Amino acid sequence: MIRFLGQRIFVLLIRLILVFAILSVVIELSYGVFGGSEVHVWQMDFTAPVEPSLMLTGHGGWESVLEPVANSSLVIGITWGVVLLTGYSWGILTARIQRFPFRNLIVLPWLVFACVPGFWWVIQVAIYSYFEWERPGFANEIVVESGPDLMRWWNAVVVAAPLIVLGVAVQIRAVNARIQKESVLPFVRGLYQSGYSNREIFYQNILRRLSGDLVHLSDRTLPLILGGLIFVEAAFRYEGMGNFLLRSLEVSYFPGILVAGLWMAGIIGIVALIREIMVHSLTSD
Amino acid sequence: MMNRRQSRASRHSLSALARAWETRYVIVLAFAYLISFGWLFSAGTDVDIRPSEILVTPGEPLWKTPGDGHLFGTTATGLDLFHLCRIAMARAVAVAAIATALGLALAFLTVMLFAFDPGERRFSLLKSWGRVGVLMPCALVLLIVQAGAGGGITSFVVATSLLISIHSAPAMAEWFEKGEKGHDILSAYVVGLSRSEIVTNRIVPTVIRKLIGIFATLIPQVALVEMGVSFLGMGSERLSIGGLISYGQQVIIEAPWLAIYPGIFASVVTMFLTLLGWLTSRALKSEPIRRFI
Repeated sequence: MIRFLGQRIFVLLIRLILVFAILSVVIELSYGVFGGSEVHVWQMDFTAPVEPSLMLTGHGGWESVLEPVANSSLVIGITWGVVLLTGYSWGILTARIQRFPFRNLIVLPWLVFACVPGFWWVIQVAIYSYFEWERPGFANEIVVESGPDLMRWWNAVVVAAPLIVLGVAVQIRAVNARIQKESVLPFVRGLYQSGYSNREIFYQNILRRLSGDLVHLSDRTLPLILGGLIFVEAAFRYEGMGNFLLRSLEVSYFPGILVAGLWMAGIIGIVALIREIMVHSLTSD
Repeated sequence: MMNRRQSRASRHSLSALARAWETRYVIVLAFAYLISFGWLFSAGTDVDIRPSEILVTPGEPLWKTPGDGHLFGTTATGLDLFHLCRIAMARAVAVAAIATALGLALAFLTVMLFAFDPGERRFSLLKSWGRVGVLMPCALVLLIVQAGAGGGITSFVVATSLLISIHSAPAMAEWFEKGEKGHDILSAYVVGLSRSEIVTNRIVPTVIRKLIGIFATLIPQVALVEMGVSFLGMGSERLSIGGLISYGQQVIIEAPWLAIYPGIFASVVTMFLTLLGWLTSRALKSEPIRRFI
């Protein structure tokens, strides 16, 4: 197990180095070659003040990036947690009732709302909150200076909501498709003819056989969620890594772009590592 | 009863009818696409639709609230918002269709470079590249390119098509691998057909059929991304749904409908295109690929 863990961590590190290299090439190509910028990737200075934070808060140290990281991590935590819980339970339920008519209706709400542009949805929440509830609309409109900061949670949930819908829609379909693929295999017919009930075949055989494969699907929504986060944070004016990235892009601050990119790649990579360890421990039995 | 032989014309017409019956779902879907695209693209550009000219608030704005004569209301320059939404959405769909077609074509060409190689691990390079690519959200790379290159349709189409090709090539490689394991392919090898004949005549047509389904499902997803990029001001200088919503945010007190209706319109059109894409994919028996954008 320790050998496996060391090997996977090594692979993750190599992948992160590759991501750093690819991002550097993309930045140089975009800004230097196509944009005609006179600043190049090899000239970037990580010791210089962090320009996006300097513009916003007046503090130019890297410690000022910790707050956006914490804010975005909260959103990602809420989103991914709900996506896993709802995606798996809904996906398994959809596969279980596959023989009933109108079975697709329970997935329909997620699929329909996944077509709504997330950045537009959060603006609607801000408008409604401002006009109907007479409360702050966008995330940057009030700062809680004393007492419990409930607004922080409200803002995180608003940003997370469209990402949850998107993630759940994708997760349900992935889980459902995988179970469907397994349930048409010949062993299912064999078990049925041997006298097993539907419930026993589904829960004690199909799902048990699929445990490793289903865990494999757990992190496939993360790149989507992190990509969507950039648009939604910008629309709701939420101070997270998405907004930090956009400000870095605006002022051509390359270290900021790389840090935001590596933060995203790091999250996806670490979750993939945890998933690999789980699959390994499940399948090695 | 006379045993008359059918004429060539009647035989041809019967076989055409049988083939049409077999592909009836695809024909119905093609009509649905034609009608919806026809409606979307017939909005025309008979008015000046440069955002710098129309998305401004003059001293005496000509706002009209949604209602009589204007379903979605008007802009400050008096233009019908519903008409503008149609033009903007048609543009988003057109850009998405071009980027998706280019991306899938590029992915197909890339896979074909390796497909004729008889080695077992011929696609391993593509697959390992795909595993690294998954670590970077597409939106991140796309925004870096758009911000660095100064926006524009060309950079959006090029960057999006490259991203689509990078992410769909490993899935396509799997289709090739799966296709080669079919009983008919094994029989073809036994009969003595060459590898090149088998790949070209047996596997490629199946992959191309699946590609059409993937193309149909990707269009609404890429259109959503185009709207998002335009909303952030990194799209082109032309009229876009994202641009309309962004302008609506600026005049949210005076004309809130400008921030509301373009989004509703975009959602409805995206839902319709997603439904059509799903039906097309199902009719052509395309395997779903991992959603990456």
